[in-house]
Amino acid sequence: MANTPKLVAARYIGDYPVVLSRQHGPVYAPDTVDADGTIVPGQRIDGTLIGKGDLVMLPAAEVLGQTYWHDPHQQAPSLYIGVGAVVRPEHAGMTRAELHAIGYDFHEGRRDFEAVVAAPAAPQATSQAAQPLDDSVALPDDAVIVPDEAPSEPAEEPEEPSVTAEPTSDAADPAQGA
Amino acid sequence: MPVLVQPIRSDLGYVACGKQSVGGTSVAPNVFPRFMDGSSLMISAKAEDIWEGDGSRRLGSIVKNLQEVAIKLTIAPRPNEIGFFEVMAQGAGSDTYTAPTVSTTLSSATLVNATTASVAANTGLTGSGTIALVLSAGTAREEIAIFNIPPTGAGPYVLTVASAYNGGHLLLAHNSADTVQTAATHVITDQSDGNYYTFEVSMGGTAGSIIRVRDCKCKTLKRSAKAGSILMYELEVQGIACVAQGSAATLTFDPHPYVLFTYGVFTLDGSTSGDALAVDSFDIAQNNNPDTTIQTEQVTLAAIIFGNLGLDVGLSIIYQNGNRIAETYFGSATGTTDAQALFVGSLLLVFTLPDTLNIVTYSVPFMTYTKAEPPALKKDGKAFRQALSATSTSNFAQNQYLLQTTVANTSYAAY
Repeated sequence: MANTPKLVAARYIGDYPVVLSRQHGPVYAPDTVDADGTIVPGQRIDGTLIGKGDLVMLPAAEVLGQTYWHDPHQQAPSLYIGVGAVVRPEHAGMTRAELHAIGYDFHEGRRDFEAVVAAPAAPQATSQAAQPLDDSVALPDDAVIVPDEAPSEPAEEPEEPSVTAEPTSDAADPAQGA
Repeated sequence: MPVLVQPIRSDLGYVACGKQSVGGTSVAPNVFPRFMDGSSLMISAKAEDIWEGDGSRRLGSIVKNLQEVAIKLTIAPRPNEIGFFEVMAQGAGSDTYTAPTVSTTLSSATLVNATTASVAANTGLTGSGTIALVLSAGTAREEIAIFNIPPTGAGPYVLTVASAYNGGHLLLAHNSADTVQTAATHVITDQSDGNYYTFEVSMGGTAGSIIRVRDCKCKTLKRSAKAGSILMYELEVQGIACVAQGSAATLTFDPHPYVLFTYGVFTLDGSTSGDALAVDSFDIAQNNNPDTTIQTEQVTLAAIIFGNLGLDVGLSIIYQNGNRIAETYFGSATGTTDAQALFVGSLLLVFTLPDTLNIVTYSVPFMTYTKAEPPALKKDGKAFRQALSATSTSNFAQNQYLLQTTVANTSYAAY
């Protein structure tokens, strides 16, 4: 897991306005691009009220979810696989039920934010907002995105955002303990 | 030079939660109630001493049999949070949602200090008097204002801000096409089992521990308030599995106000007078008695299900007469000697916030008084106080719920 979380642009979609806490330091709005093409850094917005449609830079795992692997027998140390729903290459193609059975633990992202993967109409988004994630959290060559499956409770299942993964820092193979 | 320890402030933390879409899958929390004293995370392990005949009288080893996690949370919930936690306690599918009776949009933008608002439709606005409407719900310019009805015009319709609201002026500016709505209504009653929730508890942030707990269900929820104070919720949940988090969540707080005891109106045993006016504190305590013994292949639980529901009401009243003692122990208010009959009453408690839009109602339709404590004599000569205890029953399964909580608020979807 990452102590310095990678940030992504996210749109607030909650039911009621909320105040962004200052407890864990600055929170910024995404950068924007003005009419001259100049990048305008996103303003610091912690301590302010945000509402539906407002954009915030949030830790990627908070928005996109994250994946862990735990030893089903609870003997081996757990592994952080990455941001989003991702698996090791050797487990590609398995169903979620099969992945769960061998120890994958998929965490969903926040229900009150959705990832912004395209530039908003106005103001224009910056390169930061226009990309799903920055390069440091781009999908590693050996990680595989888990495809969506029909949710068991469609009415409550938020639409899966575009996902990517953070490189796995641990060398251990999750399958070893499965 | 001595090396100083690095203390961490005990208020650097949070207890946050989110409703899981399915059991077994954690979700990043999105509800961040402001914690109060009494909030904590408890991880406990049951261990077994392994004694083997190895020629010594020494304990050979210890095996962990079961690991459990529970969370206590004490908060002064906001109306939108009340719905969330009531559904957590009452169970899956407990929220019967009714959309607002007025749901239209602004036909044109309004400015700060505006005295009128132009709306596209007059459905629900054709009566007379005043009505509380929320403008721009969910946005940072959300405002709950009171308007005179009916509006004027043939469409768009022009609403005048009631003089009782900020002298007849809106406080904020609103955009054209922003929503104009009455409250959403959530009628929440007890169900057979509960949803799973993820809780995340930070104790010192990344310097300390941040632990995410999946598959939590509500064990107990106590709603309480004392005269002059605020409505409090004390929640206890049982979870299944923990995962330490490397970074703290982005905290987002509900800006709406909490609920004051003074907003409440009691109807006790069908009457708004007598003891209903003499309540100086109350609590409605729910116990879902979850089964926390379901363990299979792992050292953690494999599932949690609700057990029998217990719903107790406690009241403290300023003692005015001996009726409660006679009802509880002597069969009726006019009883004079021991009798088996118990007294059955009811509780209806309505908290209406000053905006008149957010309303919280607790209804216990059938409760049996089990204790009416004779007040203690004291030489200080101050007023007697009497503690009353009652237990809600289904009355031989005639009632469909032990407690019905109705929340009118600005959450425009079922919890």
